[in-house]
Amino acid sequence: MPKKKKTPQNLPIETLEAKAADLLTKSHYKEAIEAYKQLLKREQREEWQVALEKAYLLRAEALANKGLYKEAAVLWENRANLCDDKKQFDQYLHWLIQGGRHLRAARLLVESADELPDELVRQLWVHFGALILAGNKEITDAFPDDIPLIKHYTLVKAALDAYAQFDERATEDYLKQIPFRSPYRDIRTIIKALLIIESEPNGAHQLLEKVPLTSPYTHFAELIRLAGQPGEVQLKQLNQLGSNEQTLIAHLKGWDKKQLKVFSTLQTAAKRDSHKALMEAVIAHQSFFGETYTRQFCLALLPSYLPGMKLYEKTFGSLSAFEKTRITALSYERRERSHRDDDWHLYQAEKHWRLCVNHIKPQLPAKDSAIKAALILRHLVKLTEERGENFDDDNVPNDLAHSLELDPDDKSSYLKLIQWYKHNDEPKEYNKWVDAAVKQFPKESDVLLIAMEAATNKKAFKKAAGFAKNLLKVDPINVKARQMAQSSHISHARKLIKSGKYALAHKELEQATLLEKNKQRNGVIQITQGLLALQEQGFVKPKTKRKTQTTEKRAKKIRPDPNAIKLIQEGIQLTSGSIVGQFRVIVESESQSLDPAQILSLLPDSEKAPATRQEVLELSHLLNAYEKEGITFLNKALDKIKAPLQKAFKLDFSQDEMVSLCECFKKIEHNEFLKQCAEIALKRWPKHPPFVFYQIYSKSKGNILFMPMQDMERLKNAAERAEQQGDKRTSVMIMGFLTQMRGGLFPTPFPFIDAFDEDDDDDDEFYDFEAMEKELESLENIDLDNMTPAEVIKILNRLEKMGIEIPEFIDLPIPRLPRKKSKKR
Amino acid sequence: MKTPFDLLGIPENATDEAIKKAYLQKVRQYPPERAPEQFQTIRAAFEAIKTQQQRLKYQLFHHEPPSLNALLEHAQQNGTPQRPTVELLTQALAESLNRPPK
Repeated sequence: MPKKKKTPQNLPIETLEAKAADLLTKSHYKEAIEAYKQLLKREQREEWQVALEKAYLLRAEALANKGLYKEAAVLWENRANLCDDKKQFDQYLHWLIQGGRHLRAARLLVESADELPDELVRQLWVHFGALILAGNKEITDAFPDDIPLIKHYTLVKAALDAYAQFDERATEDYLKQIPFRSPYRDIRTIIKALLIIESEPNGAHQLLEKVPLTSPYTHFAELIRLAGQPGEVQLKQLNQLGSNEQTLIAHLKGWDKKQLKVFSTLQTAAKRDSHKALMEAVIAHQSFFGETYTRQFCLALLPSYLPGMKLYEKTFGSLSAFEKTRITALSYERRERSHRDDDWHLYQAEKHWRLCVNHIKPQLPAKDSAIKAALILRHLVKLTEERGENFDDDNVPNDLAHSLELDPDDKSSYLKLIQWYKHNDEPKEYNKWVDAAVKQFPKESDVLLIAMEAATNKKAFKKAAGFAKNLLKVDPINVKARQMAQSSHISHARKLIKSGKYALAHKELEQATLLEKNKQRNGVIQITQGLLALQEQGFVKPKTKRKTQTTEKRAKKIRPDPNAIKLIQEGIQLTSGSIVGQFRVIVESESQSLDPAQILSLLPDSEKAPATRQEVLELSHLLNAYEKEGITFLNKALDKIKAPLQKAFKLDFSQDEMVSLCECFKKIEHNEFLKQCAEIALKRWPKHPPFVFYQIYSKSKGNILFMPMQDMERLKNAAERAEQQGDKRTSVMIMGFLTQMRGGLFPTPFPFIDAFDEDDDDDDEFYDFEAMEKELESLENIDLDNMTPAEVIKILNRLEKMGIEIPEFIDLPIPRLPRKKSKKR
Repeated sequence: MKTPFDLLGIPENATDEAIKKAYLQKVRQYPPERAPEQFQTIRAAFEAIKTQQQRLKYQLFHHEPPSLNALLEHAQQNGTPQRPTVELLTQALAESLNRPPK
């Protein structure tokens, strides 16, 4: 027997009651009304009656919120049939008006006006006023003739007629007669705005803003405001308007029928929302837009709508091969921007841009064609830059160079080329393009700055000084230029001193003095001048010049020029401490091939006093500066002030200061000082990643081959800690050190290092990594430092068999065994 | 979107001088202290086409598709405003009353 379906009719009363209450709570009013109706059919209970009324009212409100005013009013009426009260009567009147039952609403208002609050009645009058004005004249029959709603209507009507007939004065007169508290107050404001909309659009705008948002005229006021505002009405706004509203705007804006027809076509095209529709719409109204505008518009549309090329050519004639290729290239570029992961579009774009250049070639050397081709080549470089691959792509320098052949007047291309060759370490090409850039832009500060650096790197100091001079003419406050100019003069003076051209050296140093500012004096000029004076006098000679017995004797007889000593002392005083001053004297003496010890012995204050913390830090800055200048003997020079310096390392440096000291010693490859500093720092900050690295680095003399295997674990932990602490610099530094292994020495034990070289699959063809790994495992517990030379050589031979070579420049801490046809390994 | 040429109110074959003149005229119309947004737009338009090289660059590489609104703007070249009739006003009011209240 089929199971009986459960309907409200056959549910037990308790269940149905619970269900009805639940439906009401869950806002399922329609079902709740049904349930309570069923319950009331079975038994008349007051609480159900109340619940049903409540459900009706709530459902009416819900429908009104959805814009279903008619239905809401009917539900309110249903509820009213159940009970005597007029709960939410005001709402009901509004629903009646919104639902188009104006006459009933009007009659009800007249009947119950005395029972309703004054404010509500006033609001309703405003509504009825708007309805009457909008053509619902039948409503007037429901109201008595002596109320403001009817009396003032005649005035508003007369004002509108006068306005339509351009009778401003009459309009104003009628408007004046409408009192402030009239139901037509808002339309009076709107008509006032209409009167001045052309002459005073801002004034009209301000008037229209006075119409409250609760007013029935609010949309109408917005419409007039739209017509009055400067600029164009957007399609979105136009779409929201009805046809009469659009016509009103057209009148106020002065649009004709043709324009309205175009708008209508454009609205249809907007609905289709496609480039095709847009192109068709504009071509359909070509006579309206004009041939040039339509053509330009369609051309601009083609990169995003390539299939439109056919319609374009059909309408406007054939496109040139260049234009077609250009549009195709742009189209691929657009697609590439939305599919970043896909290189194919970019490849196609590049291919088509290159084809564009080929299309232009026959038109060369016409000026615009040359510039066009150059611009395309630069655009290709820009695309590579956007991918971050500009320094890896060999096309970049070729494209830039080619673009400069076509259009040499582009500074940024020169700068990019120079940067490219610098980055890729090709000094010949770098210098070539620096020269070309200076020739083309002799007064551009950024070009001159690069030229200065290039000349300094080549040790062409005179040339560098010349560039600096030119740069200071263009940019007299450029601090870097001033410093570089000064240092170029000093370096050139050193060169001249070496070749015995003392008079010229004096001139160079004078030039350097002229560039020196009081605050920036560092004593180097004075020291160099002092050393020059001593050489001129013949008291000291460069080590390279052979000393004869006679000259020795002569030198001994000469007393050092007190002015020269004074100059050197002055130079030392200008430096920030005696140890820094001494170091300057040492470096400057070495630069001129003089014996520093001899010079220092002439100075009364050259005793080796311990250095202060500040002096050590200043010294590190000086070391960095000398290193930048390319001075190579810093390591040796530093040994001459070893004792006071080593004592100073134990001073109270901060962690950051210690890191910068270590970095400085690493840079100048003074592994002994680096190790000392790192170990002192590790006592204070054990396991601090940079110090762990510096200690291991110094112990292995910067070569991973000499790193004991147990340090590998420490280094790995340090890298991980640095990564965790967000110290990217140290983790990169450690990785950089470990990547020496990737040079073919060892496979890296750290998987993250492989991320550097993911694409380098070719390694597998040359190296047997499995064998290497086994070899590495066998080497794990070996302490290289504690091995005998023979044992080390055995290991090295094993490594060599596997293709792992140790470069010749590495100074192994072991005696070399004689080998047949041996190469130093 | 309007092209820089549209914004400055000049033809595409305008010379450097004509462009500069149009730009200065627009700056007088929209000085930065009074109309900063318009000034920025005009400044950007001028920068995009102020030299022959930049104009070529714009013509070669500009690929933003023109919008429907650009077309609409072009179509809205205002004529002489007309005064609406009372009938039109009341019809438009009736339409606006039918729209849902705010």
